[in-house]
Amino acid sequence: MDEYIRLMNKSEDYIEQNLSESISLDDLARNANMSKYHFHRLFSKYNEETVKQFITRIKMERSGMLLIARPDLSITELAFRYGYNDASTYSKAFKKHMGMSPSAFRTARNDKPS
Amino acid sequence: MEKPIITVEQYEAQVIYVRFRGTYVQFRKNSRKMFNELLAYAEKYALIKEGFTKVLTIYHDNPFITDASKLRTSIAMTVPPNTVLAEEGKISAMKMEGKYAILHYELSLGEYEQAWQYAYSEEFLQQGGYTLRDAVPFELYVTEPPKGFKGTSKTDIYIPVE
Repeated sequence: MDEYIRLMNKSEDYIEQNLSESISLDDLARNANMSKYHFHRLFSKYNEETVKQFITRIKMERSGMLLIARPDLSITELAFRYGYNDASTYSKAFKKHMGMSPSAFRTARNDKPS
Repeated sequence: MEKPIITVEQYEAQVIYVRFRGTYVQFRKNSRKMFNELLAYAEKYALIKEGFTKVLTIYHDNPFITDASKLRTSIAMTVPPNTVLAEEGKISAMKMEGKYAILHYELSLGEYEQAWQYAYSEEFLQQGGYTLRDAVPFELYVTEPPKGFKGTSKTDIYIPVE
């Protein structure tokens, strides 16, 4: 059990080091030296979300942080940084996960009470 | 709490870690046990070097964005450079590297939250001219954390910057 937890942590580290890439289940399973089926089952059990859900969530949350703290980065630049080919696809994924568009998120989080 | 002294450094360290997933309250309840697991591994492989070894807490997620139940926090320990590690049990290894703005604090137990709030404040980041980099921040215990609420210890907060 402990070994599986370690392997899942290592997989998370791998994902976070490759957020600008399109990360496949094949890559992750190979990295963990497991079959795709076994890896996916273990990952979902340990994380309570699928590999795809985890990757998307981390990309949205990490880009959300930069939306707030990096006004110099455009939505298109952020889309490329997190492995999306265009701003539209990224914005759609962001809205689905966060409930608002990247621009609205940036404005809302940076608004300060007067 | 006094304003911290700030330095900017290129930092590189290999660390061993144990990771927790859950709220910060749950993490605090488990942190002693996690530290003991890490310590047992470090002692087994003679990784502790006086004057070199440091203990860190790594915050993988942002509590203002990530759901509290999914927050990941690691207790980590630096190991000497080029150490060949046999990862086992829950113990993994990773590298911390890159440019960091380091806030050097003298903190009591009740001041950590305020110290982190300042580290991510507009006052510190924008007015200081720091550009945030997408990497995990961490706190490094320069001296042993205080045992009670009255004592203080030297703690450095590392904020990844470009």
